Amino acid sequence: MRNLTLGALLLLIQAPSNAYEFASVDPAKMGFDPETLTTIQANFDELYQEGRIPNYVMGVYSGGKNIYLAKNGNVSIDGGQAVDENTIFWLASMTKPIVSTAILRLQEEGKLGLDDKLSKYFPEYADMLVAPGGSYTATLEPAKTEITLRHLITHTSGLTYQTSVSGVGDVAEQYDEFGVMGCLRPNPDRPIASLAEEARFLAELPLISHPGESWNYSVSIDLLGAIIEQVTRKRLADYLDEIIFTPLEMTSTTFNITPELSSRTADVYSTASPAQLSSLDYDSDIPWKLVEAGWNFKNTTPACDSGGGGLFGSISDYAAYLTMIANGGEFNGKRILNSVSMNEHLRDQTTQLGREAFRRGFGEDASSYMKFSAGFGRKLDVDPDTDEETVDYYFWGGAANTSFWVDTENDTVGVFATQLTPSLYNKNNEIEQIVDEAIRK
Amino acid sequence: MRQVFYYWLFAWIVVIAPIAQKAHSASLAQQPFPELSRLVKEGFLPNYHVVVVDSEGQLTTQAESYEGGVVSVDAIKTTSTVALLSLSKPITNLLALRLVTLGYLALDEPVSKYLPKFEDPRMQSTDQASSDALRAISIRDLLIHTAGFAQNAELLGWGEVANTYAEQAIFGFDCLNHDAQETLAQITDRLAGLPLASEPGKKFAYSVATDVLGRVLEVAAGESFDVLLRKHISIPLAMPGLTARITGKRLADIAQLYQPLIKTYPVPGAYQRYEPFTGIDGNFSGDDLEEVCISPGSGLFASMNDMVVFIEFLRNDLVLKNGEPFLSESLGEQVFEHALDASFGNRPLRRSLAYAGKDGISIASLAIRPKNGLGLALENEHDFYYWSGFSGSGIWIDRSNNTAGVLLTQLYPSDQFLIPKLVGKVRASLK
Repeated sequence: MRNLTLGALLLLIQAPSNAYEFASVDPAKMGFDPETLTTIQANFDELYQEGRIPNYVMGVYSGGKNIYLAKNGNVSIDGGQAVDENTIFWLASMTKPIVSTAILRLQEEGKLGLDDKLSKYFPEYADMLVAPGGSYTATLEPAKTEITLRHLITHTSGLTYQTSVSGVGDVAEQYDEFGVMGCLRPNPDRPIASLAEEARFLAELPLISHPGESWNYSVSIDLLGAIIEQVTRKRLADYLDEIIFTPLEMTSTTFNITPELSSRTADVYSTASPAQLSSLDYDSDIPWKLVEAGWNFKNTTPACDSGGGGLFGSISDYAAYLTMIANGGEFNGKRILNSVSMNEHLRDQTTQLGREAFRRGFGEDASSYMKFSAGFGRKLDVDPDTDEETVDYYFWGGAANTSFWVDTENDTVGVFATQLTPSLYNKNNEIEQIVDEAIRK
Repeated sequence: MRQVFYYWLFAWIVVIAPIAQKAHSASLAQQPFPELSRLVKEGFLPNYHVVVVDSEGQLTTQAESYEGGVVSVDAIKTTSTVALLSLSKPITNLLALRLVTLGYLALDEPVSKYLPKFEDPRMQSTDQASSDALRAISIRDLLIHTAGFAQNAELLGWGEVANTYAEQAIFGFDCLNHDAQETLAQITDRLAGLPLASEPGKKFAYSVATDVLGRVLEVAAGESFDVLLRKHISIPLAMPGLTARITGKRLADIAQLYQPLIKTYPVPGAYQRYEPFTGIDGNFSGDDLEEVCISPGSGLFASMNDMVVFIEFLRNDLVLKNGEPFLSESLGEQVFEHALDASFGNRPLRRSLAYAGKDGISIASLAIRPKNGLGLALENEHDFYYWSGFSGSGIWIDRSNNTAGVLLTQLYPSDQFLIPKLVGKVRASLK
């Protein structure tokens, strides 16, 4: 009896309560060729068996159903729970689309506007200086225009990131030095009092380009988080809970890994350097090429809720969010955004910049297919003769090698998670193409 | 200048041209190594050049470099000067074995016979072991990394002694760049004053031992390492591009080294995961290089043409073109034999060279891959022989099909260990 009670208790702890559960269905009944879908797994098994990723979970969803799930490994390479669709991963930059959704919700409710100036919320941003290209060797210039919320949501504000993400120049090195927006891992020499205080501190550093003139991946979405807190007078975590996580039953999505969540939260790893490899001695059949990233999220409370990268969650939860996006703002009877907001969310917001704008940050491949909406990358199919662009899917990814796509045309959603930082293996294109092929067959 | 021209002419007439021109009966598919292409296209590897030879000449060659990227990538041409990094070790070891064959020194002599400052080696710690007299470091220890030295942390060594080497510029980047205004003799002398990382003869520890070996050879033979390398390797084997010093004339041909770019990209598709490597910048200081540091263990340079000659030589059981054996019969056999006794355990390289965890090592600095994967102390059969540098470059000799290969890449440090895959692909193609 005692064992039974303990077993029931363990089940209770392991399974997220009141979470939305996607029904698993035979893909053939949904019009997908099952054999084609099964080829997805090999893409990740090779990386896992070579010891290059610690584990993985990949889910494909359509029509609110789970049509494919592949997984391998445990929350730690030393053992622990086997990973599955309910395992909690650090989502990192996959936080950004969710925070963007919240901004559009506030706009929909008339509480703010994308064309508001940032200085309306944080006056410190009224007179920004620009260090062109992030370089301090040139003379600083006064910003030609003020930063708006639209600049923030589209990463055209002129802000940048730390060098380890894709930060630019001396300015990015200052971000490193100060640990700017380091909610999860604050600089011990510069504790973060609040998100608002951090937003004000950031205004002291110059921009790397004039607002609206170039695309620079940045801490802009962290600033949007600070604005949400100011407008709603709630902590970002609480507001997102209220308008997104609770309605969509995303019960495993959180900014704070509490002790109760710890056992089903995956550890974060980094690729071992060749020198580190020589000192590894894992007792495993898999030749791990990984070392712990040294980010102990499990026993720390974040200093603030990072809208740019602070969320943890399961792929099942994230699929619920993306299904809402694929459904035009509503899922499971809960409407999160209206059609006007959804149009704003997904439309091209970087028409003035073109695809070339993404070369510097993400390389020439990205510059051949990418544009950006208010929160999502837009993967384009480009007609080589006419240069006409059509959206293939919407996407983004996280610093610990999580990624997703949403194809609103064929109503498919894919979510992938492992825990490797920096992220090295983004197979969105390959997997989305396999799913497309499974539909055609 | 004229001398260099004659080296090239000799090399072309005697070695390279016959290899390149031989008609070939065996066949490998066109572009037989798709995994290399994929690594370049996805931005994991900036470039590569691979050549496979067998008894009838060149079986295949395949080369690519990332084109049109944000980071400009140099192609590795057959004549490009490539930093061999750890691929220097088999060459310097063979030079040592040649000098042993010629009677200049013997494998079991103490290093202190030639470098007296190594007479009383001591350990880092002050524990009991350090107070005991350590056994003398032998020439053989230098060949198989059992001398007790560490590797410089700049060149992927780890541990306290490795960090000390980095702090005190013991065969690190300064040396590879010829920036250090110190001779091989002077740096080796300074090294003699530093503690060892492990007791001589007790542990395999990848290290600067090959650099010390270079200095021993200078003393034993009474000539500079450069001269010895030229006299006993470059000229007789016809490897005119092999050198320990880069002069101004060679600068234009140096293939750029790259280093991994540690950044997060939240987007799919290919992107270049590397940038130019600044540790070894190729900014060598001109022609007057007699007084600057060289590194016999990690600092040799050669071209693909040179390395093809080298693997042909190994594949042909180290017989010179004139039919003369390069080494004594006994040493020639040991080139392909595991050199560590049973006291080193079944997986002696494991804690020092992770990718070679199950392998053995010979006195020629060739790793020996066991056939059944269980390690060499079980008197395992040998599968193939190889060596690989931290830039991803490597050589291999596969006696099962009488082939040998060279892979040159320029990513430092590389986490790709490609040699076994290439060996497997060649075998599968030739079946």
